[in-house]
Amino acid sequence: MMEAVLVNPPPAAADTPIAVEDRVLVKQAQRGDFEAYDELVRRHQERIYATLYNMTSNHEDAHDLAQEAFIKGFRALKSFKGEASFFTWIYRIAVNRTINFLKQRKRRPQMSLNDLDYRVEHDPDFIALISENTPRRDLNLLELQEKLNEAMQKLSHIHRLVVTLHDIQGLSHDEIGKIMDCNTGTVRSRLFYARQQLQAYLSDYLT
Amino acid sequence: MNESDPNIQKLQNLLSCKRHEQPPPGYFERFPDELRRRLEAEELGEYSSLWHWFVTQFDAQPIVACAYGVALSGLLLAGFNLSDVFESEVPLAPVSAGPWMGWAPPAGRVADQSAGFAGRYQETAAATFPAALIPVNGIGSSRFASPNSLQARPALFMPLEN
Repeated sequence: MMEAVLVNPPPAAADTPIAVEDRVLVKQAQRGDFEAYDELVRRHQERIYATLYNMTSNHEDAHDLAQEAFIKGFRALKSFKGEASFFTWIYRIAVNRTINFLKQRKRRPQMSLNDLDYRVEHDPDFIALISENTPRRDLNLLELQEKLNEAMQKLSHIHRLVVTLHDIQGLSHDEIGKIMDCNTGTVRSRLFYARQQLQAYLSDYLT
Repeated sequence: MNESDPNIQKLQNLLSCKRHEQPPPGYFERFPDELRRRLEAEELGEYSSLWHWFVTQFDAQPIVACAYGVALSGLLLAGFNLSDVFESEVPLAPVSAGPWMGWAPPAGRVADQSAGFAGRYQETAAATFPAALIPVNGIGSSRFASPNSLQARPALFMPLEN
């Protein structure tokens, strides 16, 4: 589908080769091998960063929160029992930290990323969106980015998180339930509500 | 809400555009190195001072704190015992003769060791306060004598009764 998905490998489900390799790396990191933890960071940094960026709509905040999450993960690594995959575990740390941060953060000007991936212009979904389904053919990429971010920021933290994890990151309901510590039914209902709200906010771009 | 709903599909397509938002070029190459530097700096900072290291050891191992506490209490008790022994061996008493204030062995002890000058005298009660302020008119003449009527008197020594 899109190259961005290839750049960010799919999340490590319990028994995928990635998850197995993660477990080996975690064991090594727990014995004090920093190189192993470094490799874990390299594997998951893009998805963690992207989630935090979509939650905060701010590069600096996403950067700080991602660093804090990985540092906290490193310090808590000895308590990691391997009941969930490392991916789910570190995601949970990052997401909880971000939700706490957003609760404390006052309204501040959002700063979008200036660098839209050049591949977006060749993305078939995007081309189809702006040339066939959207009457606004003069749609500017940056304008669309701003509108999307605005609409996302109008959602509550929890609903924003569900949309980010499912519709942007492509995680399954089950995986999201593990990260958010709730059942899949709750995930589905939150996703339903969040999408309804987004459809209302972005109606101009969906007709 | 059905995932195959065309409106949902449109919304998902729109949201998928956000996957193309990227941080500055080279960001993900620098991120792990930056993280490592920060971790190392924090670990160094944690043990920047000996005191901090000391406290950290207590936090990490309460049994170490307990051992330190027991050792310190033992040292204090030993110190008290030693000071008692020292005091019983070299008892001190205020100097009772002369206009200066100092410390000297008690009179009885001096008398026991006496051979000469000190042994020939015995301190009296008045000698205990050699430079005491005594009313000029005599003790007991007035319990509320004015300060001007007080004056210092020399110590009074009496020969020992043999």
